[in-house]
Amino acid sequence: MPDADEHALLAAAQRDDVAAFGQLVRLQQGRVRGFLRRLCGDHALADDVAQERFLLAWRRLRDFRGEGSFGAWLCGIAYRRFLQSQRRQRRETVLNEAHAREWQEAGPMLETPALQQRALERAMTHLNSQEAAAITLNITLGYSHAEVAGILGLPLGTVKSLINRGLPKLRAILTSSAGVSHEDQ
Amino acid sequence: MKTNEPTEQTLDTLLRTPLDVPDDGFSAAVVSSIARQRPGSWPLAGEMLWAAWLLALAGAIIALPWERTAHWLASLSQQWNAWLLQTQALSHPLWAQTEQWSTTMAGWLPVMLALGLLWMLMALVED
Repeated sequence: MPDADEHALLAAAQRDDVAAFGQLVRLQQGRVRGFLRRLCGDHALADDVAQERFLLAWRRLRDFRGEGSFGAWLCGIAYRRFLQSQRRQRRETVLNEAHAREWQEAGPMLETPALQQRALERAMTHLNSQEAAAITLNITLGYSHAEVAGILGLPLGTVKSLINRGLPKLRAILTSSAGVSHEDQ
Repeated sequence: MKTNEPTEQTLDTLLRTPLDVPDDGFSAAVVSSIARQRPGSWPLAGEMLWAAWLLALAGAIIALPWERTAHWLASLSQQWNAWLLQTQALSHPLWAQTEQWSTTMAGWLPVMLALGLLWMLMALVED
């Protein structure tokens, strides 16, 4: 969608036009929900957080000054909410237990694109939140390093090192999971 | 090499695959939640209540005569001790410490309230 259209929708939504905001949600929901799914690993939880964040975005729409993209602003508020929920319930402990058995029973996880994506999602949950967020925002969602730094509220150098550190970890996790699957055959 | 082992290229391709999340009525649910909130409700009512509460708390911390409150608590504690001694209900030496304890607590009260206020403000700002 051209930026001009998004700007027009944003301007309308900032004048309390719910229908325009609905169109913005339709345009951005995949990005925000996909981002949160990569961070949480739990689709239902990610969708709940996303819905709550869109409602907050509606209430705070006037705070958006258009300094970055609307999608980046949404990802930023989604990420902050994710960090809050993570503080309440450490995702590592929950996810590691929940996924450990699933990981072992998954079989040849890298056979179909859907399974490949699921394997990637699971592997992402084994990175720390900042690494997972930086990699998803930069490589999958295509934000520049500077934009990612703005979304995560981190220095540019930190974002680059998070990505450089996270990618080898991700590769190692995926390699070991593929190995486990094969040895189980 | 294991046949399914993710190569550099595989991982890159996987990561660059667009996040395909179908709407599945998600945007409609968001819009209907907004519509439900609208009639007769002020979208910022929650935030305004929080702000009013925080202001009242801050005002109380600033305005309360803490020295007098501490004296009052100490005097209350003395009366309590006197009543305990009079009734001889409790003869445990721990009760002798009550006066000192209550005075100390009264002194710490503003600090604890200020910390609570700070914590709530941080929670609001984070959101």
